[in-house]
Amino acid sequence: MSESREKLIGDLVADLRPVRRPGRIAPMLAAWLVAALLYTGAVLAATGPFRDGALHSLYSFPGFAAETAVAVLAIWAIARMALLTGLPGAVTPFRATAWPALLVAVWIGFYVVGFWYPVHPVSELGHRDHCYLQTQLFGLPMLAFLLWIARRLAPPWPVLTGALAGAAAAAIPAEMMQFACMYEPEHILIYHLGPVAVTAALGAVLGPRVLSPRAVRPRRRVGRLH
Amino acid sequence: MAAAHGGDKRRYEQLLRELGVVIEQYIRRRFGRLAFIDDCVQECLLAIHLARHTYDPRRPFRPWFFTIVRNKTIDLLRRAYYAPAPADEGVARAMESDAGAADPASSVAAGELLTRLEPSHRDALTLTKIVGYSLAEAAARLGISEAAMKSRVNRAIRATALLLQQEQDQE
Repeated sequence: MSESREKLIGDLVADLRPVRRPGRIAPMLAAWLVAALLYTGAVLAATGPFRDGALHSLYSFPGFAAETAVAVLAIWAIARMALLTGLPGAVTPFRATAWPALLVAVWIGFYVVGFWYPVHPVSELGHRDHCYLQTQLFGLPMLAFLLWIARRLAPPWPVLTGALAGAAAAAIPAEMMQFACMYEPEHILIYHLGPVAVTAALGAVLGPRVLSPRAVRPRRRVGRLH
Repeated sequence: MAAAHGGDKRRYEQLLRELGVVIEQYIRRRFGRLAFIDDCVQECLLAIHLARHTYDPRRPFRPWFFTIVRNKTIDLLRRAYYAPAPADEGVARAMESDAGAADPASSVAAGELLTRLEPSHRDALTLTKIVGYSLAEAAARLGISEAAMKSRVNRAIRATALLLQQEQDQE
């Protein structure tokens, strides 16, 4: 073994500190989801009223309740995979994308089928003028928050982690728009779910810049090793 | 690693020493006489140290460990455009051989993974990362432009990353 490797091992051992709750993402995921729901609900309420009777529709139209449940499940799966990809070896890239993609496909399926059989009465009630822009903008702080959490992990595929983080961040306002804006399948697909793809692409671009090992500065005490 | 999470320095040192040997063998078997093996091993050990909080003792250790090693190796392959020191006499001879030598890459024993690459990719990686030629020198050897060489090296690294990923998925 080389002398420099011996020295490095000695330095790393000297730097060892106990780790609390290693490899646990559940608390971080829960914190992000709660923060994202509260924040998005607050900014949506601040920028315009929710559609009249939107919550009541969950009881009146079982299809709408099912669509909402699938959307919530998809958001949870995307956010969970975004954090899980931050743990090396915890999930393969295929698995990380397959489950969220399947759930998003079912979610989108509700609107595609909705062209012929909508699960909720189609109307322009509650229409917001800038729902596309709002969905996009409201997701950005949550994207930053999720990337900040992911930086504390060690994502081996920063592009994938970034894309999933972007999709999760924009999917929350996208889903909440079904309560705050008009219900019309084509409008939802273009103006509510469209921004999810855009924010996912933004996350994919940002991922390598903020999540790759060279972008993440080692913590201070470890910095002394170099 | 679970003991290291608790702060057991003695066992952590033993773990790092053993992992260092495993990483060295892993890289040597796949890439042959890579010129910067020791750099790679040290980068991997540092990455393992910095990522140790991401290892969940309830999950198997191997996928966590090899994902880090694979990523670090590929990362170093991408970055290693500096001229590395000759790894051994075979490499030195290849470097000193005159321009008329048909294929200096062939005089360097390739690792198992390199032999699975396309010949053009294998030559690109061997010349730039193992023999230690600059892009311009390697391009001149192969009779292609420097830009084409750069693109070939990038493609070779992507193919290598894919092979390593497939290898891990099969485990």
